[in-house]
Amino acid sequence: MLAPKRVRRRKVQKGRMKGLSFRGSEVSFGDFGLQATSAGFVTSRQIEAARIAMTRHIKRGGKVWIRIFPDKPISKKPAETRMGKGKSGPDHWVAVVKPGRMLYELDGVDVDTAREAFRRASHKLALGTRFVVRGEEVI
Amino acid sequence: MHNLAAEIRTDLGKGAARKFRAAGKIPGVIYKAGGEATHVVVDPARLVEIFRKTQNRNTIVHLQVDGESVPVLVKETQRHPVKRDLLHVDFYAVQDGKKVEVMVPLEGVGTPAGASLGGRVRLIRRTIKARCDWDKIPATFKVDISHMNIGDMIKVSELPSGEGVEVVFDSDFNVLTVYGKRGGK
Repeated sequence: MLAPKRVRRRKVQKGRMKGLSFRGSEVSFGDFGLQATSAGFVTSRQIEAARIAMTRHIKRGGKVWIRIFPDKPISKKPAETRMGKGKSGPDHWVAVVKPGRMLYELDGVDVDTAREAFRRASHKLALGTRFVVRGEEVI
Repeated sequence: MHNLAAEIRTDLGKGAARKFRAAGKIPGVIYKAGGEATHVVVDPARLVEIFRKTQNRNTIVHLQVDGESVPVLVKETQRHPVKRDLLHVDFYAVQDGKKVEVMVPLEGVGTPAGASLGGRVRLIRRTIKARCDWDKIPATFKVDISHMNIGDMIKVSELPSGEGVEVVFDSDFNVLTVYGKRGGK
């Protein structure tokens, strides 16, 4: 699973997901892309589960790019713990995704295979997504 | 010839830009080498229509500004990341006698010899930088790939550029390859 090698801060604040993802919103590497249409956290487990769902469908051939990285630590209180007594330890990592962000890209497969692979991948993510094809817009 | 009506705008800034967009227009700017920039508004539907018909990113559009026809290239566009509506457009006014640098798409022609062994074509670079006169911009760089076997590469220096068209590159990088397992499907 994806996780940072080292971080400056072990715990961070929750933050807010305002606005849109103007950067990282184009198909930059492959021919097809899966774009987020809503905001949310994507955990490193979800990223990996979606990648496996995609690569198992496309079998061999084809190349997958993951365009998000889970760099935000999420802390979680242990079971049967009373509230308070400070912030608990880090539990997992998430990527903060805003609408417009390209989540995955795919190359070397036909359009129907790509569409089905991304449909399977999108079921692993707690986000609204959309299938996009490179070159649909000339400008 | 592709004509597009453009009005000069004096209201600048995001507030004015939002008003133009709400009225169905988009703000833009025209600039040229060694000249002042002009701020304009254009109809996005007409602009998209021109490029939908030509399917060529480097189409010369003749902007009708103040009764004058200005040949321009679309240098850059900004789009809404989700709705994909055009938000802003940069026009580069081309001038006679001055060469322009544009990104020209690369296209492989034919079926590679290695395809019978399961080889597939991979474009390492989808577009190549070219320098030429504005009226001689090629639509694509076509390169014959029928002789290519698995593992073969085409370098940027091997691209056939037309008359008056110069391919711009620093190092001689690979632009296209046929990949696959050597010796079998």
